[in-house]
Amino acid sequence: MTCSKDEIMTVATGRYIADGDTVFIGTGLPMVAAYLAKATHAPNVALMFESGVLDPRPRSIAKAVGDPRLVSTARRVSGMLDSLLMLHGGRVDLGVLGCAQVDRFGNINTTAIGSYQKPSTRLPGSGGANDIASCARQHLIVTRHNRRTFVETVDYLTTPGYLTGPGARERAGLPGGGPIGVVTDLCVFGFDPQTCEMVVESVHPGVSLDDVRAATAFELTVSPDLHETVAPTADELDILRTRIDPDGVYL
Amino acid sequence: MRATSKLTTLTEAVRLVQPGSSLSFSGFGHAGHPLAFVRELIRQGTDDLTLHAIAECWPAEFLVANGRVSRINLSNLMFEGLGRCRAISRAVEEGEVAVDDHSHLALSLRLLAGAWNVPFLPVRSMAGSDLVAVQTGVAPKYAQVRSPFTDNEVGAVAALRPDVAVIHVNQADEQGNGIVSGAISVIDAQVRAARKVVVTAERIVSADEITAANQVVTVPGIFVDAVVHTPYGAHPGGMYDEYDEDSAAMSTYYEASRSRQALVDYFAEHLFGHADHASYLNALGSRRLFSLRVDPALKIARGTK
Repeated sequence: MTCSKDEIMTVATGRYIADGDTVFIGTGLPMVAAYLAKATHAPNVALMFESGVLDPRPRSIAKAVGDPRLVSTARRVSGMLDSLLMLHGGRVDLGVLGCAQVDRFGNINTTAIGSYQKPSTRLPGSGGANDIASCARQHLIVTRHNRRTFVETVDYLTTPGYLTGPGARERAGLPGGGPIGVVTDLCVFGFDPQTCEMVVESVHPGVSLDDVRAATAFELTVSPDLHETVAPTADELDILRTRIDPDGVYL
Repeated sequence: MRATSKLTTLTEAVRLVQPGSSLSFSGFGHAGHPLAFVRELIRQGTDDLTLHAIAECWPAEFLVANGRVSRINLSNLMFEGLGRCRAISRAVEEGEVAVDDHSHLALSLRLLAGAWNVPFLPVRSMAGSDLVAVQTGVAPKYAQVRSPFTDNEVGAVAALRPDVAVIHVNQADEQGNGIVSGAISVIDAQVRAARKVVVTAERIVSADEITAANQVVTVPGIFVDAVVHTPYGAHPGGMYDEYDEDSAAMSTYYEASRSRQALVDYFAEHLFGHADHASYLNALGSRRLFSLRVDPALKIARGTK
């Protein structure tokens, strides 16, 4: 069954979500992935949003983290300070983040392209992303793959990956474990436990390593166990297309 | 004797904001921002403002687009589902507004420290990042401190006290005891940290009605200086349990924000073209406003999914 790039990213993201996890996410593709996980292999996942929404069961797809579709169907609603303090307390298993730039250590920039004081492009800023990457037990990065995004050095380090490498998070005093993977529209990266650097673990069906290399501005490291990303099943695609996002809001 | 009512007009309430003030607004995403107050603030010309902006995308964008902001302590400014806040991005790119960046939690804790009257609060976020390495504010925001109880170091963020917090609520009594339905963002900290608090309310209700729901009073009236009856005060954004965001009106703004000239035209029509909030609502018309009302069970406008 053929699928779009967004669909394979969504399915690959959903596979990182384990049953029983508390997952801290935003809207967009990660939210769709979490709904898919909940509808398939992880029925006991609880979703948390920085707006203070906890464990929603929305009737239709939400367009924002404070969307009334989430607020009105959540088991609990509080506020941002409360939800971020639960995260800070170590109660979140997995966070899912996007990025504008990411380096080989998984450090993310969502603040500014160019100089900070007078940037060529001012971006939205951290929001809760730095809190998630600092405090969640682990986190996942999901982004489209091109040379402007996968850079040698981020212009501004908004959100910590492994910082400068092995031991750096511990020295900085960050309680969370750091990034466990990067899902793109071309491939899935893991992180080498020795070097803390991004490693290609699988390439999506129809994508070559050369395609990935051409879209990455830092030198690529490839896992010895490189394989093809498991394609979405017909069942997963059907759930996405008919139940979760039938109007194509995100996919 | 009867307590003096704090009910006043938007015109009077806006005068609590002096030029050069620092401000903090309620709201999150596209809902709950006191935009009627912001429009009146812009009409009165108050400028050189500092914003402590956690989720204040609409107030910050409107104020920056009109050149009223000098400085922003921010954690995130974007229009979810639309994209970047273009007027803010442009102003930062062109050096017109100075910014100092935080994580959401760090900026929230700075307000909470102000609210609790302590000089700082410990935080684990931001360590090792440029949010710490790059400090561009008037005063430092973050430092590593040694725990008084162990040999470990921990991050600490400095207290902030906004001059004025403006909070939009579903209902309030004339003393400013306010109830906010849905998610409350960081209203608790904002109200307690600010030197003055203005409440704008969709509905003014009796003290008895507030007392009947006294477990969910978000804004304690003892902190409040002025209360303004402001129906549809969050338009073009929404207000949970009242009305949905007006996506057509939001799109009109967002399209205009592509250029400075289009924004001048937008504000001429939608802000300066109205003497006050009543005139603004009249122009929208009751049919349109009614179409935004939410279904009481589903909490979204009838006929939407």
